[in-house]
Amino acid sequence: MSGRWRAARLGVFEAAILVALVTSIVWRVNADRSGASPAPPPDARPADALLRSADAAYEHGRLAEASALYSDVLRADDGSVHARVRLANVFHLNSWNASALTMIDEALTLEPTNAVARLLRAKVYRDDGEGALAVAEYEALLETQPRNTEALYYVGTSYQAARRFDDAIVVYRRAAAADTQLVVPPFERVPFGIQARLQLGRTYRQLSRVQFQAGGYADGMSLLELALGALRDAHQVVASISLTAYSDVRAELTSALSFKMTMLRRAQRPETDVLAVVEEMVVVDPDDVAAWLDAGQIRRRAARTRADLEVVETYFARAYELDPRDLDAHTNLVSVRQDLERSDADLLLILRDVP
Amino acid sequence: MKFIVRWQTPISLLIVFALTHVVYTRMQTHSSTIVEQKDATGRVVAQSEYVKGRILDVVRVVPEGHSGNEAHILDIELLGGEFVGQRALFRNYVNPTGYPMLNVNATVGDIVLCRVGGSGEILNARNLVQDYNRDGFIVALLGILFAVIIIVGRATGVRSVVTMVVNGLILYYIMLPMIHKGYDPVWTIVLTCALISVQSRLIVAGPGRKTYAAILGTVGGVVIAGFIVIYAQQQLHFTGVEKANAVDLVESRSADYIDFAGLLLAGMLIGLLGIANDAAIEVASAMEEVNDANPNLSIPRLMTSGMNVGTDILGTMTNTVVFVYFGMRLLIILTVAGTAIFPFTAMQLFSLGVVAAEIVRVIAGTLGLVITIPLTAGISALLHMQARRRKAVYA
Repeated sequence: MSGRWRAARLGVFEAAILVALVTSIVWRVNADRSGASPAPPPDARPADALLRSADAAYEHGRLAEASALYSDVLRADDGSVHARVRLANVFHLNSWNASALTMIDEALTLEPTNAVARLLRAKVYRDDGEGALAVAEYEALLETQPRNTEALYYVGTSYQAARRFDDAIVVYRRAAAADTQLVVPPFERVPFGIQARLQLGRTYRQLSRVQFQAGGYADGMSLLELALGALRDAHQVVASISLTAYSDVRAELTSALSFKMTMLRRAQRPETDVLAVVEEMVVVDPDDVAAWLDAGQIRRRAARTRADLEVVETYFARAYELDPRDLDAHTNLVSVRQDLERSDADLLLILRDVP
Repeated sequence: MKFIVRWQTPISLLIVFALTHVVYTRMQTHSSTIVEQKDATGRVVAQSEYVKGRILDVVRVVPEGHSGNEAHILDIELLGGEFVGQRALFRNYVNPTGYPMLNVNATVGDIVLCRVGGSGEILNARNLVQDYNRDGFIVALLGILFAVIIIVGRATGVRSVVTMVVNGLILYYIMLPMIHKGYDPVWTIVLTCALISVQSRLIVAGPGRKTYAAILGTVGGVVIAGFIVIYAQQQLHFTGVEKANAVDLVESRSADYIDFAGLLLAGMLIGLLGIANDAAIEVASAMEEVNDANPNLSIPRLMTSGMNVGTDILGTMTNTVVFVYFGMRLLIILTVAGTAIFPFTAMQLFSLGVVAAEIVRVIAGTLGLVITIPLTAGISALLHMQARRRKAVYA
């Protein structure tokens, strides 16, 4: 074989590799860029099987998987209202509100009375800052479903935001009364009945502040009692259904009690009234160091016998046990213990001198 | 051995063919972690990452109010990363009536770059289409470039490709980590230039006088240009980034301190490396040829020959430097200067940090090149003188 022939054969081989490389690369790049390579077909199972899978994923919180499956459902059955509403809910949770509204509008075109879709539309309107549209949507829904707790609760929050406190109180009361099952809805932490009670307490407290600021102590205090009543009710319901992880109600109740204590002191009410409030605070939140200290100090001022002082010691001991770094708890405990070591005669003298 | 020498070009082409497809495929399934959260045991519990995804369907096109924006809800299958194989609905913002250059007009079958997040095996529902998929195309183009270099350059072409790959590895695995670790960028670049120069010359030309002269000439030119840019930095107060919010942005993305001013200077030097390398090897090679043709030529005369070749190179290369740098960024700035986009006077223009930095880059690059030529000629002459003396001793 001549050298020239060999070189020519090698050249042809090299050219072939280059052509193959360029062709294959151009084909792959084109396929990827222009979509020339066909996309894998979407899930081709029947619509009801797809819907079951989608619902299972949705209920287990696998929302990405659920949304893809619901879109498969819509490919298989374009008339599925349920798939549209669920997709709309996922979009709403993603804050893709325009997309959520599109799906809701499609669902309501197919089934104009769908309560879930209407409720969702009201929520989307509310999140978009369209308060009036949201209220109109809630009210329209409540005309057909007057005991819908979710709608009652959310229309209450919309009224509250619009400073329609009287209307808000009415619907919160209705929501609290209507939610007899106290089931935790999907994507919520607590039942709407509890949320309504909590919001009712907050609304009354907000109104009481206005009264206190205007100098109406008696009206303010009666509104604050209404707030405390709603919050105590909520606290009791939370305890009854063992929602131990939910601490908002306890925090709100403690805060309202603390507010009441401040108002009583400001009005120079008897210390026994203040003590009753603080005693309730330590019952609601047994880990509240400040409340144990407050109660102990009030009791110490009222102590007239060794037995009274021994009770006081238990309060300071509890506060110190909860937070050994708290200087007040430590000094008060040491001081009470020193007093308890004194003779009865000395102790009586000291207790008589306490203002 | 003879077989390998004869078949090295087609074998190299086949390797390039295979590697191009392997790397291209790998790129499609590659992922890049943005943020991850770990528990007390160090296990990743949540992460956010960039991955490629194939668009299976456009589920809805939703107009967004009166802004003209459209939200394209896309059904995308993830091709790589932590959630490979999972499908989800992604949102892609498109504004058909706004700025077309900001839109990613992806359609069914396209592979796009996605930003996804999730915890454990559960993918979040809120994911975004980030951009077009571009890196695959770059790999493809690089594969074709390597193939053409090998066919045209044969054995030298193979060595050039190997050199390019090794240079890339030096930049990625030595230079960038050193800068990230806080080493001085200017001297890191000088070291990188030396490494690149040594390995390029040794692989392409093999060891020898002309190689050593070219290496020393190049490194010398880069070092002198380094001093020039450091002096320019002291006089002109370059920051490396011209806007305070850009500094915030870049620094917020990195836990390490980055010396931006040093990086700017380093960038000025690295541009010089390629041309300085060219000029140095051409001068050294010409002197080697002259010496081989006439071993009795005096050393000063040999150096004059080298300088004659060098001055010819200088005539063309200086223009090359100017046009390369001008084409990089100055073209955009000078094109928009005096327009509504950039309504500043010439005086303001030349005081702008970015413009001044580009001009210093041109000047420092050209100076480095000019210095490289006599330096290489001098070093080459010295090496030849040494070789002749050694030869005389042995004779």
